Amino acid sequence: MMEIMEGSHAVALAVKAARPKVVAAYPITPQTHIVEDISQLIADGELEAEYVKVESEHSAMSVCIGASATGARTYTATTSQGLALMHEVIFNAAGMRLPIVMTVANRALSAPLNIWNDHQDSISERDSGWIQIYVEDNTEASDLTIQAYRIAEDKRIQVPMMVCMDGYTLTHTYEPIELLDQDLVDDFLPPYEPTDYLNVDDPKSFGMFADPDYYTEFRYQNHEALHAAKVVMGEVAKEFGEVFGRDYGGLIEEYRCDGAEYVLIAMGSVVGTLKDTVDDLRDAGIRVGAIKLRVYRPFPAEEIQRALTDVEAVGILDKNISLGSEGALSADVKSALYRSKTTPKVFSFVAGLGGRDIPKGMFVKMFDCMREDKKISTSEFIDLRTEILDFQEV
Amino acid sequence: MKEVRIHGRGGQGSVTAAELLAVAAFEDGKFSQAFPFFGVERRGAPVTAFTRISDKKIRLRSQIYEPDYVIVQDATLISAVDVTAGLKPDGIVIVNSEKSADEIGIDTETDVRTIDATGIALEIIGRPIVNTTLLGAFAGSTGEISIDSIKQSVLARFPGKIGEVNVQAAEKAYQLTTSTKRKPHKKIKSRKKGAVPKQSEKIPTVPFGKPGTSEVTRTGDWRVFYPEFDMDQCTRCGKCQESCPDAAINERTLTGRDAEKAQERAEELEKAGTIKKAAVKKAHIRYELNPTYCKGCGICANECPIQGIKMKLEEK
Ligand code: SF4
Ligand code: SF4
Repeated sequence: MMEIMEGSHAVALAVKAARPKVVAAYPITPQTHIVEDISQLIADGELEAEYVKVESEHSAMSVCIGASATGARTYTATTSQGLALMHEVIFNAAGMRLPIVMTVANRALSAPLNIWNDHQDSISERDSGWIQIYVEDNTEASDLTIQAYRIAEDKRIQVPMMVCMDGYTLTHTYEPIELLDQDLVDDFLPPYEPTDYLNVDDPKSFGMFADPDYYTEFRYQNHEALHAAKVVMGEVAKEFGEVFGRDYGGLIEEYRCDGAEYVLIAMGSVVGTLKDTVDDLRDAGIRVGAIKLRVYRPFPAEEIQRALTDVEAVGILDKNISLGSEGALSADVKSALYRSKTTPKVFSFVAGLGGRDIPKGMFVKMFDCMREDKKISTSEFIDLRTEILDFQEV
Repeated sequence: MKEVRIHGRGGQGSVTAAELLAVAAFEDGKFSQAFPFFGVERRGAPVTAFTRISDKKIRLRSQIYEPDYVIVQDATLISAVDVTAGLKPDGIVIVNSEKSADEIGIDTETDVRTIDATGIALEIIGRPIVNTTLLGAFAGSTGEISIDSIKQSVLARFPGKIGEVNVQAAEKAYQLTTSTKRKPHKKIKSRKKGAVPKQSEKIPTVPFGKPGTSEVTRTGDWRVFYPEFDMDQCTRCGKCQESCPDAAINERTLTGRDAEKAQERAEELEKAGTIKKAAVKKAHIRYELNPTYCKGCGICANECPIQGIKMKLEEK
């Protein structure tokens, strides 16, 4: 059944359907509506959970870690500076192998202060050992919240997971949502029954000291768990499709890539605009395609290699920049292609930072760069307003 | 797909209008999408919100650059914002104004319709909240959405009495606009775009901005209501001045004959028992409005401990 609502509300309802026992969060725009709605649901008795009010995001994640270690299903959400403040404990959550689920309402990082959308916040946490998935619309945000618990809690991997949704562009957008049926969710996602948790009858250590003799092995286990998550995610997505009738494809979604000479890769809600652009260009007889990169960590290197086997050139859109290097996604795609037999030309674009809108015309411009084989920089700031900049001699 | 852009000011409910429109379209059996562009959030600052309506699922996420329809919630925006930018040639602009389309100085050849939504809202709702009224006008002017769905979406969002009066206001606007005839509109002037300088081979400079100033933002243009100070009752506590977010209340010290007059008046009032002795000593102090910056937010009136400030409707 479909109903129209704000993206944040759809996520709050999905969280309710997942029946977490502990929610701890600190409000920060544009995540605020999500946690406000959840606290309302708890206050109204619609969700039986402990809502822990905390004084910072660092505490929010710390509470989730403690609660998750006792065996409770936990949830939190944040964005931007809040996620940055969590940084230290984010790594702990993964290292302690706690299946916490967190929504990141993607937003730019300061300075300069900016409350609008890009992916710098979660990209900056890419090495933390969390699974990261980027969603295209609000139904996907809602569905992936449910899937995230199944994936994170899978006994074979046990890793935390971030569901990244674009701040404002998704969180504050009203659109029709495919609602989740509670009975189906209950069947699909049974109560969390951990085998490893803080239990006086069967004591275990979490986040203990590991000297040079052991630290590497912990890191290796965590790394391998993330790779294994690819299999788990595939299984969960398939089962979700069978139960709910919505299949989002694998780690990447190829859109009109058959016979495509030029393919653009992007993440998040901007993929919708990209697909519309691809349709327009295909109608004009230009053979282009799009890849929606859904799962960013673990990185789907093999899927990328396979999808790009026959293309002339690939363009990568990064809504982030590893300052002094290039966009993170671009670096990852290039690294994947290095191990590939056939290597297309690579065009790396940085755009849409700090909420700068990406209209269809911007994608056309990117495709034009690729088709004309333009010389561009290793990370071309394609929507740069040079007219407002001053330049100097070095 | 039809695209609607709504221009308003913070606090006028532009984002809510876009959402209600999307909900109404969904009620009509369509796919829809509503989203805001938040600027720096501030009561009275220009705000833009968008709605898309389509028969198919909407994937497009960019802002709207070539709208089919534009709703302008506040005619004072026309001088500040290019409200008709990118409007389709057969598009419609709906402006909240008691003036006629030719009188509001709008830069377009397309169909412009005005409706006195503030007047209707004040009459029916009792507050100058114009978004629901304009949605009625939108339904009437464009036929893009049914008035019944508008009403349903308003009632779902605002249950009870508030919803009902909003529905009445929307209905009135709907009735008024369904009878309006399209008429061609005169183009007034066109804007020039600045040239784009060439990019140099050099590296960009280190960015340090100049401190901002609110001096250039004439927030007085945003005003619908203005505060009226009752200097006879005023205790000169200064709360209003402290609480004004735009520093629009000036303290003036009267001198000479004016000060004497104020003193005499204060003594009279003290005798009559209306004010306390302490206030008489400060009789030469006046609180006055700076109309260039007072945006009519009413915070001063809320803060005044003796309710000595009344918010009055500005005469246009
Ligand atoms: S209404 Fe009062 S508080 Fe608001 S801007 Fe005007 S003087 Fe200041
Ligand atoms: S707050 Fe009221 S009493 Fe105090 S100075 Fe202002 S007008 Fe006078």
